[in-house]
Amino acid sequence: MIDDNLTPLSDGERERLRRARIDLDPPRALEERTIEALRGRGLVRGSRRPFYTAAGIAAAAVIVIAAASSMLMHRAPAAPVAGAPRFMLLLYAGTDPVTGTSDDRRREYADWARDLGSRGVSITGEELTDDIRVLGGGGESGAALPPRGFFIVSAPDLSSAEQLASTCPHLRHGGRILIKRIAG
Amino acid sequence: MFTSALSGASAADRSGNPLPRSATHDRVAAEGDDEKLIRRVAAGDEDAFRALYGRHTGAVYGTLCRLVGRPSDAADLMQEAWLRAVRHLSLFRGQSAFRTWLTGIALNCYREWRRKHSREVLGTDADVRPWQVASGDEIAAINQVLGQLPYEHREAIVLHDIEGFTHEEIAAALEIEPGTSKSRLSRARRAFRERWQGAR
Repeated sequence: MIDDNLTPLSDGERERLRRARIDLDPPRALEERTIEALRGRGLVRGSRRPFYTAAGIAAAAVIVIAAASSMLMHRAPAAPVAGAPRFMLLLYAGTDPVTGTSDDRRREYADWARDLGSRGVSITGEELTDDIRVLGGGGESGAALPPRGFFIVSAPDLSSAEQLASTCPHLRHGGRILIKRIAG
Repeated sequence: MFTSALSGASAADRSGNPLPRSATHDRVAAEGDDEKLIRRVAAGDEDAFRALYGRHTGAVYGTLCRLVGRPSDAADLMQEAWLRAVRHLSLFRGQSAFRTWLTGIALNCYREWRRKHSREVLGTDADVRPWQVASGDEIAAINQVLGQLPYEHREAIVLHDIEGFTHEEIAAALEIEPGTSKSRLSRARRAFRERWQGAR
């Protein structure tokens, strides 16, 4: 390599960096998610399915069913650290039309939450229906733009919570997320 | 476009986090070569797509992880790259290896993503780094340091020094001049070296 000699690497540095070129396995759900998207666009169609595929689809179905009933996915390994700050992520519809089917979105949200949970982030949440009653008067009722759902995540501080929220698929679907620290 | 070799060690996953791949995970050995698979995928064969996916995703996803840092973002980009690749499979002429072509598409997706996240600072929180599972080893340390670099520096190191792309290839992928790629690499190496030595 002759074009990188402004700040040349030592042999040790060059070898060290080259060793960092490893393949990484994507999340298990990605393959099924991609297949579903391809099917939805008519680009592939199913045929025979090996056992592992059927098992994967069954697992995905369980996820979707669970998500459809509560949108959420309590992730057990997300052992909350005692006293760790918690933040509420309130999910609002945005100004743009929400894209994708609701099942697709639920699955995406579930994948996202599971991914965070697998990395030690305590996360829980629920989808909210359109049923609403507002009691009391004055101030901000919030009824004009009610949230569509929420997550509660653990994070060291507001910036970290924002960083986590920035990866939420809700934003890709044109939604908005309000982050508030939970007192206590 | 990309002519550099893109093979790497393989990796296995049990927890959903990226891990070094084991040989047992490679389920595509008997699936035939890419050319046959591509023809079948173009005809809508889902099994052929699964085989192609299994053969190439680990390498391209690894590159995306090193570039964007967060596995969830890398997975989104990987999915988008596959969708574009299958949609435009008729454009693949076999003039380069399929993985090379797929990597080019993935880098296009990355470039678009990067424009949207140009002001974002990822920080160094281990919770959002995919290599924490291998904490303590050198690769994890390298990626931790990479995660502290600005995007421009990180992509210079990742694409040139880790993935082995030439400056011309990087310039084409990122829509910059080759000279810009060279100067970024020079600055990136200095920044990487300082942080690496500081972390030792």
